[in-house]
Amino acid sequence: MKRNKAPDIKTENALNIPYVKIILCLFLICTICAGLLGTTYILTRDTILENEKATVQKLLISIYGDDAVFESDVTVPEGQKAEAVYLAKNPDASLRGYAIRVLSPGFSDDIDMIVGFNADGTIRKIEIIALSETAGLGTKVAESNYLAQYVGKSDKLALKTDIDAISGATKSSRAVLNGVNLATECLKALGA
Amino acid sequence: MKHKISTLCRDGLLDNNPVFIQLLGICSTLAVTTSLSNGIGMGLAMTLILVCSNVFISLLRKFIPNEARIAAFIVVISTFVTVVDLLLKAYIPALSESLGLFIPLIVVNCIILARAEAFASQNGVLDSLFDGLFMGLGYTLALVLISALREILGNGSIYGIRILPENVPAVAFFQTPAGAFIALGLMTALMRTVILKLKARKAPKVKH
Amino acid sequence: MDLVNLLLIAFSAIVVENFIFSRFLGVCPFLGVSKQPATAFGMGLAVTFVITVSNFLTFEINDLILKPYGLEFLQTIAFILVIAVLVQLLEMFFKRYIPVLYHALGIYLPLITTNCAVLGAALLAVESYTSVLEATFFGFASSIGFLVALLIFAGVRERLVFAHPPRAFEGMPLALISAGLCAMAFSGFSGIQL
Repeated sequence: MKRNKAPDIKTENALNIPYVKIILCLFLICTICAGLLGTTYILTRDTILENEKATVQKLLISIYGDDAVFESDVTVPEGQKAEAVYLAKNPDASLRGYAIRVLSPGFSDDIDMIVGFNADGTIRKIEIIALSETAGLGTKVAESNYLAQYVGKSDKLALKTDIDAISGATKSSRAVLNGVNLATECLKALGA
Repeated sequence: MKHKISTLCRDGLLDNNPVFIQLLGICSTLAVTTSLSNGIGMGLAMTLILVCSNVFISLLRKFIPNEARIAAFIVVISTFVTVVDLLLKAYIPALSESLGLFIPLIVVNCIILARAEAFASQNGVLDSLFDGLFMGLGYTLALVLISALREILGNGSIYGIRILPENVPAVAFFQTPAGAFIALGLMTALMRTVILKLKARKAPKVKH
Repeated sequence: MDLVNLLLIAFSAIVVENFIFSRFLGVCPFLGVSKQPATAFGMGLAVTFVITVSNFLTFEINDLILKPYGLEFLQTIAFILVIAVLVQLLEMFFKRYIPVLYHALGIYLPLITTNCAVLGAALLAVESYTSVLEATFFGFASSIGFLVALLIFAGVRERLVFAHPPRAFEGMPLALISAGLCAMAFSGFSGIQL
């Protein structure tokens, strides 16, 4: 790109550079920017956290129905690679199932998902929170008719024998499967 | 204002289109154009940031020493990108989710630094505002055209709605990285021809 | 931290997830300086240097300053500043000691700052690796992948000069389509499970 010709000549003569001015100027710009950033962060922080919670809540309701009561303060068992464990209870306080949130490395980024289990340890429903797979190929693993084949299964699953892969998106299919297996392990560690 | 709005508009959208003519910001163009909704969202986010950074840099242009200009521009640009990122996460989470990875990448989109260097640091606030707006819209136009092409060919749909008949198979190739390069190449060839034709039609009038 | 792990990182970063052909990082300079193999090589080396050092610095900054204070939302801005300083240093160094390279790289030298490969490598490393050695090595390997892609493509483009495509395809469109064909070749690696 074109640059200002005149000030460039000044750069040649290093002794003339007004260092103090540069430092002051950058300091000022950084201060303004820091102020702007800090304000935005504080203003948006709560909303972002609420959005996140609301998304998870919506997915939990979609797994367990809207009459379930959820507890989110279940600690993840030691040595398990799960992000969070949620407990779903029937209105009469008996266990409806555990939902386990896991991150599984996909084709381009982690797939963030919740695996919902029934009280007997079989899979009730899988919900994807976020994924950034190739549109039209990898994103097919998030479609409900693909995820439906997991319903009712339990224990460690394998691709092709237990679960079909999407052709052309084996890596994404495997990522979902790995996530489910992580969740299953975590469920066993919970002793359920 | 030194520049006419109509000139800036023509420049940003066609004659000097950031993607088709200047070939800047190719990385994001290739990466986000897998679906039309991504293309539009990315284009608008980019336009907003481009306008903000152009205005801010133009306001400070006499104050920023030449030796430190790149550092200053980068601070300003990444501030606006982070602000827009946080705002999107808070108020339009659906869009933020579908773009996710690509928002932080706006910082390193050459278009913004190029406009700061070549235009905003040498022109008045209003000029820079319109330059940012039309360059941003030019980028959006390019994203819309390419993502529409890739979504129709690669997924048989447009804006997520299936338009090709079920028995016509989609060419998933256009959703892959290699397909992205080729779709961009084809679209650039097409748009360059169109832009040259428009220029040629306009040229005789200018001579009078 | 063992050798096998490092080799896996290298193989994956150079061929399977090549910055240019699979992640679309650094495509602007890739198209800009690939007209001659010599310039491409210089640019590739400059990028390799910047990415390796910046990955080391940004990883430490994230670990020591940002994480302890819960300031991860500042990652983008902090990383890009480190990168900008590094690039400015490199620009001064080239201008003073290797003027030929300085003139050859022209506009693309200050634009290494906005080379998405550099920021991309820093952000990816922080996200996916836990040790500073892995992160730095990942940066180094990725930029070697960038260099390899740049050199291959510079070779292809030398030949393109002799091609007589339809007028609309002259220059960039033809280069983009050739890049697409290279990407197809590289996509052959994407089925490999590591």
